Formats: sequence, structure tokens, C-alpha cells
Amino acid sequence: MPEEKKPAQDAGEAAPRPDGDHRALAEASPDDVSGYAVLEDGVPVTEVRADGIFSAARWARDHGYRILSLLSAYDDGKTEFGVLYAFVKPANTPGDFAEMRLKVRMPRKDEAGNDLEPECQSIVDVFSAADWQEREMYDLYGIVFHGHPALRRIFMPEGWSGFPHRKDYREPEQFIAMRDGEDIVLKTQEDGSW
Amino acid sequence: MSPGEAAHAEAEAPAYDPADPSHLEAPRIPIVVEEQREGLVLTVLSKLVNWGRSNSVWPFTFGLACCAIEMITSQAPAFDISRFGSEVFRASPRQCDLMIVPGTVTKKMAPRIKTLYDQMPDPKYVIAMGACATNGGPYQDSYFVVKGVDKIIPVDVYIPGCPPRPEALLDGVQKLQQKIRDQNAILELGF
Amino acid sequence: MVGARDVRDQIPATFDAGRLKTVKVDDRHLMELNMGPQHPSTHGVLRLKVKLDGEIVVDVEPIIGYLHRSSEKLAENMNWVKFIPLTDRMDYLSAMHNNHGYVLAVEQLLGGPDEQVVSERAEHIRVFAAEMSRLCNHLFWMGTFMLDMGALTPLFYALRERETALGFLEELCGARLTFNYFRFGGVKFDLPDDPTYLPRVKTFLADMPSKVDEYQRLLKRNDILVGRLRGTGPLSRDEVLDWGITGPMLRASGVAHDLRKVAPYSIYKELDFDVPTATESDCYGRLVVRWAEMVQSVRIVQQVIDRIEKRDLEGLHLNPDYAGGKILRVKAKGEAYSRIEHPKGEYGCHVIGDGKLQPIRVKVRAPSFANLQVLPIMARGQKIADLIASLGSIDIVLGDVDR
Repeated sequence: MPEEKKPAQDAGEAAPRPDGDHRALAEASPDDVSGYAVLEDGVPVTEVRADGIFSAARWARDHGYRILSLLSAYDDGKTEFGVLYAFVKPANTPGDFAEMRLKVRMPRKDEAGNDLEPECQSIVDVFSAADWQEREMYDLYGIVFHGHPALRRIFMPEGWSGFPHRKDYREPEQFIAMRDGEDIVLKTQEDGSW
Repeated sequence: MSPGEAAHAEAEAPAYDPADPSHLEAPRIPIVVEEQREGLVLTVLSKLVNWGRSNSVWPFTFGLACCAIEMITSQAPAFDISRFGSEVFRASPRQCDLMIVPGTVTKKMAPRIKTLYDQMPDPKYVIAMGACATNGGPYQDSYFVVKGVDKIIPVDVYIPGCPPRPEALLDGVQKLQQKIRDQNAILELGF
Repeated sequence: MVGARDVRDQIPATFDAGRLKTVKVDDRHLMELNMGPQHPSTHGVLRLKVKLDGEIVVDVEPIIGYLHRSSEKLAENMNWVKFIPLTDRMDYLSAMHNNHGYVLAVEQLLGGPDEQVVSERAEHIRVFAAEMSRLCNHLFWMGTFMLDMGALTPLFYALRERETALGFLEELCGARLTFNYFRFGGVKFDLPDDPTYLPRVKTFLADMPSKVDEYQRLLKRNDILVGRLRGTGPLSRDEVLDWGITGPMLRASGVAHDLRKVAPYSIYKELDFDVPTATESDCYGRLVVRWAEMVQSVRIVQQVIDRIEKRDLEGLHLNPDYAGGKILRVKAKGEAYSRIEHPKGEYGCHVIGDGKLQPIRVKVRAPSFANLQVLPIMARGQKIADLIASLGSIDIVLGDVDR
């Protein structure tokens, strides 16, 4: 567990204030930062706008958080997509270890009620490790990372349509695996009968 | 009632009477015996060929997932599959008789499995090792898993387990050897 | 009936040389070689598209997804506890660690960071199981790495030791490979009642350092092996950090970043062990680091057994009141990410729940997936045989890469 911890926010208490590197980030680029929260494991996370994540990530790397520890997207099924980033300082002793988390939230619908496709900036130019992680999130959630040199599917075969981990994904009726001269048709199972 | 239930309902099991000791006997499994049409010489030749084939089954190094580890362990000294004739695990499908499918078959991998199976020369056998190769296993609800390798290639022996112990794999190989011995080798050669 | 004569008619008269793919780049004709997804020296179903200029690798593109079983999507339909067996099957060589990472994350949701939810006894058993699993992982890795290099003997030696260790884990939890052992609030079973269990483990562990010495004696003086591994797949420290590499690959470049020391979880803070590092992250350095880690794991387990036997550890192996006593029907709310030091690197689970029986999201930060990206950097400019060595030294398991 990292050294600096904050207790989880209780209803009725004042919202937690950023401190340490989170406050420095909020002061350095106030246009990008859109919020602050503390997760249930006690680690703070700064919410960043989708078009500000590149400079926030660069700020983190320049302040010693050199290892990309986590790049995880989620779809909460109701209102938004999100990407959680965790950057970590490489440490030789326990005192050197520190973690910084950033989160980007992409709403599913804009104010007018139209559907939005999730989009975000790519941080590949800052952390090369984000290359495959962003491809995976594109493949599974359809989040387009602008600035990625080669954003294409990584798990699914090239012709796959749809983004499987989305909550509203429906499995296609059949999948035709192309081979030279012969197609293999794999049908989705119907009503559980063998 | 689904079609599966209807099929089962038709074949009624006899009523169970606890006082009747015959239910303690092992159930009799009918074994189909093919008529040996060729006579004595070719029958013995067939048995000789089958003896050779069953005692030198060469598997294919084809590891998909966790069951592959148990397959590799079965080559290790503790379990030693080579005492059953599978001394050599070849990497090229053209040099193998047996394809053990250990692990989950995904839709991306399925055409490659079919290609590899087609590249194997006859007579070839397939063992579906583990729950995933049998029917999808723990990943039955997945959108990317083929629910059993028998949807793509014909399977001779199924080994349940997740993963099956190396001893279970050896048992499966022995059952396959029994199946090979029961084959009619001469007919298969096309004479 | 298809006979031998019919097959002969089907073989084409001329070999279709057009199927050999060449790519023209700057007046050079590069051959595109496809390795996998079935290949004896890939660690599972990994496909490598290699562009070769003669024997030199110009580029390699790993193509994955052949084992994508969508465990993370399946988690959204399963209870929180039901996902634990699925974590086993991701990195199936060291399944205890996968369990550990997931269970730690969900315990943050159920308990919060300051609560002591896992009893002392359970923590000791957890570390015991985890470090034995790390030993099994490094043994198997070493055996298959040497198999890729062409040495058959170390595989059998390593599997011999691994069988004994797996036997102990089987007595502990009933399974050899996919343990399904950790639960929220502890572990599923206590140590076996057999009074000879811990003494037998101690005997095995006492012999283990001499076995590691045996491997080193077998392999270190082999000029061919050392020549193949030294300077192969080199990565500078900046490259390692930039590409998010963690685990023995990071420690081989000199950074002693071991989460058990720098961000301790469980009882690692109280245990005494070293973090082995090497000066250069090449294949040989990574091999040496993993050898040393085997010895350190032995040391940790010996200390844990000492503590279990000598101290009176309070608590049960599974906290019966945890989550109201109903582990199967926990409802966790919130978001958490917890990281552990997996044998392959940093492993963690990002879990999001909203108070229901099923999670909203379980994302597994897979170390093999993160570490595999760096293969093109390691392999460019080297020969194709060195590509195999580099791939082996990353220590990937495709179940972890594809999940």
C-alpha cells in the first residue's frame, strides 16, 4: 500500500482536497483537470479531460512517474465510458515508491441526448507502454485514441464488427472463419441445447 | 419440453427395486464387434499392424492453454508418457499420428486447428483434453470460444478435467490405444 | 476408400514459390516468415510475423488473440467469488498469484484500506502458497527456456523439483495447476492436519538451493549457452522503464523495484529477503535474476514455516464473519486497483462494483501482455535464433496475454 492514504469519502463530509503531486498537477494545468476523488483503496485519482490527458501524462512522467502501471477502460453501462491510468515511480527503496492515478471520463450521451463515441488522446508518445494497452481498449470498447500510430484490433480478428466488452454488445449470429478455399462457419449456440 | 428432454423421456429406465441384487452388477456396455471378413492371414496382419500403431502413437506438440502444461508434465519423469510409446512429440503435423487438443479453442484459432488437422497424414487420431476442448469448459458463455473442438474436427477420445491430471491423460492415451487395436487396419489401407 | 494412389494425384507438379512472401524495402528483399500460432518454441499460441534480411531480424510483429477467452467479460455475469477460478486460468503457471491480486482488490472494496480483514494465520498461509507458486513458475520457466535453447536436460530436472512442490500444494488445496485457493478474508483450507507436512516441506526447501546450484553448474559453464544469451535481447534502463516493463526484466536492468519490498502487501514487510538485480537486462541477466529469485523464495517460505510453527498465530484461515459470513453473495461497491509482485511482473486487478452481486468491471493488468510489447525492440538487428532466446526470456504465458 502506498504511504499517503486518505480515508474513503463518507456522505456528509467535505469533498477531499488534492494534495501532493495531485495539487501540483491541478495548479500546473488547471484546464485539463476536471475533478478529484479518492478510491475505495485509499488512493487518490485526478480526473482529467479527454483532450488533456496527454499533457497530464507528460507532466506525470516528467515528475518521476515513469512506469505505466495500468491503463484500464470501463463501461459502466449507464452513463459513461472511462479510462483509469496509473503511473508509478520506479523505486529501489520503499520510500521512493509513489503512484499517481488519472481518470478520463467520456459520457455516452452529450447534453442534447445524442450518442457519443468515446474518444481520448493517446499517450503513446509519452509512454510507449501504452501502445498495446490502448489497442486493447480500442478493440474491446471502441475507444478511439487520437494520436496512436496504428490503432487496430489486437485480440479480435480484423473483420470483427462490434466492440465486445461494451454492455450493449450482442454476439453475432455466426462467425465465418475464412480459410483458403473453405469457410468454417461457427454458429452461436441457440437456446442452450446441445 | 425441449427436444433433449423429450428424447430422454422416451427411453424409460427400468424401475429400481432395492431388494433385487442385480442392480449391483456392473452395467453391461455393448461392444460392437466387426465381422472379420478376410480370414486368418489378414486378421493376424491387421492385429500386427494395429499392435505397431497403437504402441507408437506420436503426438503433436500443440499446446493451447493450461492443459498443455499437464501435457508437458506427462512427458516429465514422474509420469512419463514415453513408456506408452509416445516417446517423440513432433512439432510438424506431417510427422504425427495423434493431435492432443489441450486447452481452449477460440474462434481465431479454429481455422488453424483445422489446417493442422488436415496436414496430418492418415491414420490420425484426436484427443480432446480438458473441459474446454470437450465442450467449452468454464468459458461456455464466452463470445470467442468454440464450444468444443469436435465442432471443427472429429474427436476420438475426450478427457474431462480442468486440467486433467497427467494420469488422466495417460488413461486417455491408453483408451485410444485400445480403440486403435480394435480397428480393422487392412480395410483402412484400401486393399 | 482413399488409397495411396489417389493421394499421389493430388500433389501439385510444381512447388508454388509465390507462396514464399517477400517484401521489398529499400532495394532489399526481406522475407516474411510466419512463426506460429503453433510452433514448438512459442509459449502458447503466439504468432510472430518476422521480416528477415537473410538471418537478421528486421522487424517482428507479435500477433495475439488466439487464446482470448474473454474472462473479463465473463466476470460481469458471475458473482465476485466465482471469478476466482477464472483468474487461475490466466497465468496458469503461477495461479496463486493471480488469485492473490484479485482477492486483494476486492477486499479493498469490501473492507477498505485500514481494516484488518485477513487474520495473521491466513496471511502466513497466503505467503506460503504464493511463494511456493513462484518457485514452481520459475522452475517451469527455466526448463522451457532451456528447451527453447536446445537443452533437454534442465527441463527434466526442473520438472522433477516442480513435481515435489506441486505435490505439497496439492496436499494444501487439492489441485496441481489451477488452485482456486484464495478467498475474500483468507484462504479456503487450512494447512493439512498431517504433522509431517511442514517437516517434509522443510526438507524439500533445505535441498532446493543445492538444486539451483546444480542447474547453475550445468548451464553456466556451457560456452554455447552463455554465448547465445549474453548480449541477446538487450534493453537499456530507459527502454525498460518507457515500455512499462516490470518484474525480473526490470530488475535485471538494475532497478530493485520489487513490489514486495517497495509497496509491501500481506506480511512481506516482516519478512527478510533480498531483491536480486543484474547490471544489464539481456537474456543472461534475466536468467541470473530468476535463479536468484528462486533461492529468495525458498528463504521466504522457510521463514514463514518457522513463524507458523513457532509463533501462536491468531485467527483462522478464513475469516468467518467477513462480509457478513456470506462470501458467495458479497456485494461490493466502489473502485479499486491493487498490485502484487507476480513472478512475471506487476499484476493487478482493477475492479469496479456498484453494490450488486456481479462486478461492473474486472480488468486484469497482465504482466505478460505488458512485457511482450517490447519484443520488437529486443529482437531488431539480431539473428532469428536470438529472437527465440529473447522471447523465452520475457517469460510470457499466453493465457495471461490474451486473458
